[in-house]
Amino acid sequence: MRQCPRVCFLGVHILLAALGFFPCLWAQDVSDESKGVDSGNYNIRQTLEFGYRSDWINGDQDTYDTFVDLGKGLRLFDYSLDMRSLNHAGIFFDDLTFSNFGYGGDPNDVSRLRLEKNKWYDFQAMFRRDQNFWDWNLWANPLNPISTNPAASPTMPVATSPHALDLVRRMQDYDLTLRPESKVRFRLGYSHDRDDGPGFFTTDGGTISPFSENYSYTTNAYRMGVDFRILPRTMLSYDQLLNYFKQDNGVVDQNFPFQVVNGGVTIPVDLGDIWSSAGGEILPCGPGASNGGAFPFAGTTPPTANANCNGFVAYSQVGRPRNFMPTELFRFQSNYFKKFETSGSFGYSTANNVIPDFNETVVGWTTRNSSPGGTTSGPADAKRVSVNADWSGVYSLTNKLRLRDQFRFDNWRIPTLWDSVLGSFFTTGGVGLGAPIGVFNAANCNAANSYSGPACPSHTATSGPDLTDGVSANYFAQDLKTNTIELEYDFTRRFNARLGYWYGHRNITTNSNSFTTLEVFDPGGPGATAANDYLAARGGCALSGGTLPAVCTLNADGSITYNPGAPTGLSAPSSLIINEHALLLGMVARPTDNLRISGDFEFGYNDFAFTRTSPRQVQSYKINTSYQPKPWASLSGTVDIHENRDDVYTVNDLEHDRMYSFTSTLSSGPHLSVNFGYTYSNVFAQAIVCYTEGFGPAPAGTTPCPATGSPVPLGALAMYTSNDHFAYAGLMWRVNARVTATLGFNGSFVRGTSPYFNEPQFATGTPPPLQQVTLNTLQPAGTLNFNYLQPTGSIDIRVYKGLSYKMAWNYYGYDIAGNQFPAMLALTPTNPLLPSLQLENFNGSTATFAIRYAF
Amino acid sequence: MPFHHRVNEGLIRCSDCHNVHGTVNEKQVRMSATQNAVCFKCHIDKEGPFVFEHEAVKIEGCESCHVTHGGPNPHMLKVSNVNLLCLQCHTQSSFSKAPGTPSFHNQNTFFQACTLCHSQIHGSNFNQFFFK
Repeated sequence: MRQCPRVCFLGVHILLAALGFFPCLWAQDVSDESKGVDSGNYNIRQTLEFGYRSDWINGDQDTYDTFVDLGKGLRLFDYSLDMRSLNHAGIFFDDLTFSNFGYGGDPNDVSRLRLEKNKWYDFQAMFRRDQNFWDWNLWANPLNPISTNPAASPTMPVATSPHALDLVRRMQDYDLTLRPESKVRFRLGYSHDRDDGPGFFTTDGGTISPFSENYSYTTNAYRMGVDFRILPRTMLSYDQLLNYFKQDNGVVDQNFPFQVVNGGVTIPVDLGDIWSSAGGEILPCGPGASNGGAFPFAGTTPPTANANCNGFVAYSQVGRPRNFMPTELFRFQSNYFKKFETSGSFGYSTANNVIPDFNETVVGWTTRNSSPGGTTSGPADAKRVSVNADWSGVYSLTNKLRLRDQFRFDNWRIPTLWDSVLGSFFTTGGVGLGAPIGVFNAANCNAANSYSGPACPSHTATSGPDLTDGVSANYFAQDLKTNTIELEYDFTRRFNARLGYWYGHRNITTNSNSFTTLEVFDPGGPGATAANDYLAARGGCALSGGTLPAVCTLNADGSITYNPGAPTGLSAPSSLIINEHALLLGMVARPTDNLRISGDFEFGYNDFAFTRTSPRQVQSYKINTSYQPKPWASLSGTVDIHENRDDVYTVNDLEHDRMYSFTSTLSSGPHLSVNFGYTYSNVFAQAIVCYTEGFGPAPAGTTPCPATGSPVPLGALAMYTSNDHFAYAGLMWRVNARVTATLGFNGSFVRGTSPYFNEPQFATGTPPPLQQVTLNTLQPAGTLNFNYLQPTGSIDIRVYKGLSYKMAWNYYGYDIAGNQFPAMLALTPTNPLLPSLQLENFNGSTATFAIRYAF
Repeated sequence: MPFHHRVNEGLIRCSDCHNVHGTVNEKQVRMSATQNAVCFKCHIDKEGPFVFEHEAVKIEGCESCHVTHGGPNPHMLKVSNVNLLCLQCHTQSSFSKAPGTPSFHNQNTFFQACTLCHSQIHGSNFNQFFFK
């Protein structure tokens, strides 16, 4: 309601300007864009456009910032500098172009610079900054329902996506070519990419909490190359590329809105994001939360929770992956022979991703295994060796018939190793959040106190090891060879066609082995005696006839080490071979000079599929047309249909993506032009999925999983359909020599369905009861149904020679058209309500008022 | 479409990913400096190599899950619900190497995003299930 007057004011502003709010300016004769200034040996042209942007956004600011993120303030909309040598004899350069936009606060700032000195060098530099704010609040949102038992569990809606982030990426690219027109030219390049900022990180645990993560990615890339043009019409190139990547992310838990009292000590705790007392999923505090009662919490600040809940007392994760990726690349291209064109490349690339010091520490409580946490660490090293080559040749058999062949070889292998060190925490005897963690050392834990002093870790006879060393060694490789052979024939000057065959052969090899190399069992706990080695003799070191197994060693500090020796039973590599075939057809027709039609068709068959959604059958139809009936009218249309099928038993995967579009541009000279277009896209995917669902017994209408041996019982033919309509129109009207107006509109209208995940089905009755035939009945329609409208308008008034006043208006309206609260039907334990979340809808305008000066 | 690469905004250009002069790849898509998918030119943290690779990423490419030219769904995913995307492959089948979901994988709303736990879904160095 607040927006309309502002928008109306803005409209009046634009209208007044259009009608001559500056009438004194109308009589002046203003030329077109500046021809620049001649200075010395250069013609210099500059444009500067700066001004102010206002915004009025109602609704979900986070969604607006995720999609648009244009805020208010002073901005540099454009600055460009163009210097051209008048006689191509500049001292340092002949041509210089420099352009910039976005500075002052826009999410995207870009600068591009190009300098060239004919025959001597060509230098290009680019800086790009991208502010990537992302918070689609439905993403990974647990959609906590309104509590059906407030006495046991409060309602805790989650307002922000647990995977929200706010990163800034700064990209710099520099490329220099020396002697660009000589027979031997050199190329040098450097890129620096830095991406950092805060975000959230979630991981598996007793519950799930959005931990705070500081992202930090840095890439430095160096490029060196040389081109040889020694033979006529032939170029040989060699490139050496060195990429260095480093990651310095850190994760900590900084969110402790609750506290627990455990052993008389009050400790801040994080109970995570998942809150529900519905059905069998009771989190964060399940039925086992019996430490003196359940919720609600004691009336304290912060609220005091039950110590037997799932939660975290501390979490941290650090690691510094360093990845060095050198690549050598040789290329050639030649049409030395009259009827034969050929090109090809050979590349060799390696990567060595080393992580020397990963460490994750979890302190909390997981009720399902009564674990207070532990540590994960150990160095890791992953390598990749990639060899690829390609060759293509076109031989003109006759003036009308050409034979084309393209061969590609791509072979990579990834051997990896993680020398894992896993530590398990044990409490000193307490249970629940905040229970003190025992520390095993000789001073506190010794034979004198049966290794069960007050600060010692407390074990039972079934406790796992305190420390586990292991190795994960994996191997993953693919050998790919493809060949495409085509015959192309020019039937007439206006019609040619192609017939081809594509063959691919993949050999995918995998091998994974994980084994334990060492376990350490610390002693101590209730019942620890010398007869049971103070409870250190457990697991693989459990006493057998009163003696330790041969693979176990009793250490001087009372601990027992399990050393299983060389691993046995390791798996052998397994290979999967896929042969792929496709028939290719293509044609280009020009029935008249102003009509062009092209078509590409592919019909493929693969004898196996790597994933269930990989196609065994592929059909692709692409038709493009362009038509210019009049010099002032251009029309084009496209049909692009892609069909994938993997329709074997228990999979039944069908996918298609069908897109139809047309565009048109009508221009009656420089004073008026109109363009408009429309695209309809129909996306469909289906596959049999098997799953389990947690709201009690199997919902009515579900069917068993058809796959033999499936660990989950339910099956369904899950589908996703999206019908997307995109339309745009634009009008540019040069009212007179001074005033140019534009109007524009583009809108996306998306209507989709995703049964079994989003569409509650209703039976008859008043009110209609919800039939439990779907999953995730609380999930709003979200991106399945929405309208996204973006009308625009602008006026450019030329005030004086080279000086313009520009006003522009952009409207953004995002409205979810589907059910935003799908469970607002009945409040039952099996059909809980979704509490009010911030709707993702937003609408509003931005307006820019700018001065443009060209000189 | 609301979720898209910043092409219209001027941050990147078509030529950043496509080579008008042609490449050996479909749709004239470029390769990264490491002779890998061009996506990794910017999203290098997803490139690996990882100790535990998500094999579909390497074999089928980013487009097995993402619509690179933008779409209606968050993270430019092919479908609106990430669990549906996962289950399409991770359902027990004799025609696929992808493991089916275990029995305790509850598909109710609380876990309506597999990536809540499997957050390192593009590959992990420290967990075969992509937890960390």
